[in-house]
Amino acid sequence: MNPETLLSELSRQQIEADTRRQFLKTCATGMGGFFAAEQVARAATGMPQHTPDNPLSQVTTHHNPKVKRVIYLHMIGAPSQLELFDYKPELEKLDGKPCPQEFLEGKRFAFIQGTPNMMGPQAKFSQHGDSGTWISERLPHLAKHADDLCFIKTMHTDQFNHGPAQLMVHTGHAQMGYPSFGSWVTWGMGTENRDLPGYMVLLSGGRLPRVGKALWSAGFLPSVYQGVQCRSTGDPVLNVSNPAGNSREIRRTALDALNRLNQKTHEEFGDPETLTRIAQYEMAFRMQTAVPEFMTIDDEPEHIHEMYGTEPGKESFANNCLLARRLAEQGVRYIQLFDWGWDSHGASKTEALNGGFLDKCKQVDRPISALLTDLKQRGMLEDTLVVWSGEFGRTPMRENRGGQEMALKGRDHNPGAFTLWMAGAGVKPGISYGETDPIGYGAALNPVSLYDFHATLLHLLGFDHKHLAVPFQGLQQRLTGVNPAKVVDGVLA
Amino acid sequence: MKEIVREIALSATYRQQSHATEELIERDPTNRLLARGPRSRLSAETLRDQALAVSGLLTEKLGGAPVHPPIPTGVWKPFQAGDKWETPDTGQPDRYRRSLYTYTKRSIPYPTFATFDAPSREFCTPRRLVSNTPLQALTMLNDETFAEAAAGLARRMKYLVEGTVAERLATGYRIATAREPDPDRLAELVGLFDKLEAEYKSKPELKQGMAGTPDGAAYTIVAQVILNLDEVLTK
Repeated sequence: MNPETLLSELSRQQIEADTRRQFLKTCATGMGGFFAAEQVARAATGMPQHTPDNPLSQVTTHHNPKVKRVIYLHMIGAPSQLELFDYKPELEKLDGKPCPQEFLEGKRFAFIQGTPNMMGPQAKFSQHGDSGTWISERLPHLAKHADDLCFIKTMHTDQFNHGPAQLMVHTGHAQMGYPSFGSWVTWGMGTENRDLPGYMVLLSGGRLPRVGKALWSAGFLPSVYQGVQCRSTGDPVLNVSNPAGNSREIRRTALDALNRLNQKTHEEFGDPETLTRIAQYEMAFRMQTAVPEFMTIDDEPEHIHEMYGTEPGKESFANNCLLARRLAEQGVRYIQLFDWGWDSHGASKTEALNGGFLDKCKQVDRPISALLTDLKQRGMLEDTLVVWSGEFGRTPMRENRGGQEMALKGRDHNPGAFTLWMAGAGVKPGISYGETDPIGYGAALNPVSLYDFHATLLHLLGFDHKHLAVPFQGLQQRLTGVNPAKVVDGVLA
Repeated sequence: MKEIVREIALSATYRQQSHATEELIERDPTNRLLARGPRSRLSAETLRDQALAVSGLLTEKLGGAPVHPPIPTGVWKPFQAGDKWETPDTGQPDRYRRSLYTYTKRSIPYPTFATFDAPSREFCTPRRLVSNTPLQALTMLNDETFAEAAAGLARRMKYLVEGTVAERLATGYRIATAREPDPDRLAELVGLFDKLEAEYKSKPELKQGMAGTPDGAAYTIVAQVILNLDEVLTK
């Protein structure tokens, strides 16, 4: 059918949906008051109002956001802050000494038993950039971006197992079933590109995060806001390619007939969902060309592949970083990367600070650095926010699984302190917020909870975390729940 | 409980048609007063079951162990590697069981169900949300199960029905919607069939590995259109 007819029909329906009371209110306050009235109504309900034909249509936020899109890099398993960013010379002096009892009292560990020994940093640190940021030798490429990074050294959580802790980072709750951050954002803002999903998820490292899709679930928000998992083999998005015998021309012919029949149904039953359905089938048709076009890195020039260290056709974190830049360029709102394999307990070669950890650092160092450089060169760092985190920190003690010293070196889970960094729009570059205690065990100065972090991210995206809410189970549900949460002003540019 | 469900289901209010007139829409846009019948998209499980039933593929066996219907490659990567997803071959009964028998794992929901708003089973869900998304369109048009269902309905129209093309298509429409097509709708379906059959005849390469004759291919695409009708997806 003619798209113009469809759009005018939809806008007519939207006008009809406006009640008389709203109409009178608008008249009474005049045209100038319209915007204010709308803001008040939105603030009162916390619900973004999308156009009827497109639940991902762009909507205005509570205030004007500095950040237009987010690229979130999550290192699944929790990388050690003590070997990367949180430099602790005091810990070096305690290396090999038994852990003082006061550090163990009232604490629970995943694996440490009895009295473990302290362990100094397993990497050399040096200062980088004008900011003099301490970064370890494990990340030589990223170190060149020291003046772009905004560190929070005092992140803490109340979860010390991977699954619940990952859920805390992405949904603000330790149980499954709540909307993920990306879902709140795409619900609250919509997305810029009508031919691609607004929230896309890219995985590397060979395994899925333990709690799986709950990390990009829409929870109790409509399913259209859940993260769309992109795949490195088969269809980049599920069912994006046609079955045998359905060429693009055949599909067009079929959809034209389907649209005419559905249009007739709409004339008969007057259900606006029917028109929405026609619009969704058309978007699906456009996605079928847009997704394969942007979900490939084959057409990138050689110097870009060189910079990222990408190999087309392979599943890798590097490929995902480059894809993230391509999707960000196309206006995808929220791009979530997960890289598996950072759980450096020291119980096996692949998970030891003097083993697999070194490989993991090499795998991500160059691509992350390339991503920042690439975004900067394209002027995209001005409205894109890049976030890097794990789900908790690691202990200043050496892990002693079963009470025995292990052959390889590793650290246990530590919810008390971990480091994350942000770069790009809205945050102060080249700073470090908060300080841990001298051994990096707990947050000493300016602790930041995940609730504070979420409130801050929402603020950067134009939301007051207290007012982005949806009624569910008798409560105005929010990302920050009913927990105390404050925007961390110290990191805002 | 049964009494009240019976009372509701047999009431004139419940059984009325969902036709909405301009006047009704104006006076009661969200149908709070129930002056017309409710109209809502079928649930995830029902949509799949309906497609299997309409295509004649449904296995009506009751009870037993959970089953593993087709799932797109790469989706099933459980943390426990021993938890296998082995789909029975085409034609095997357990490939076409009702959706309620599908093996469930909270961390890897069955994609079709998740796409059509089936709850993740982490909460008690008194009321399901109903979304309307492009991924649903892609599932209905391209997912293996729905492609098989289209082929199944096509076979029923081609082989099990006697008569003209129009009569065959009308039967297919009736199986899926439980009503006769009006002349306009039937003309649309016949027009589509003729166009497709001519295309497949003149350009055999369009079949891209689809089995059968040009008319078989045309029946399959028309069946796909029927299975995607708003009337079929909606109660």
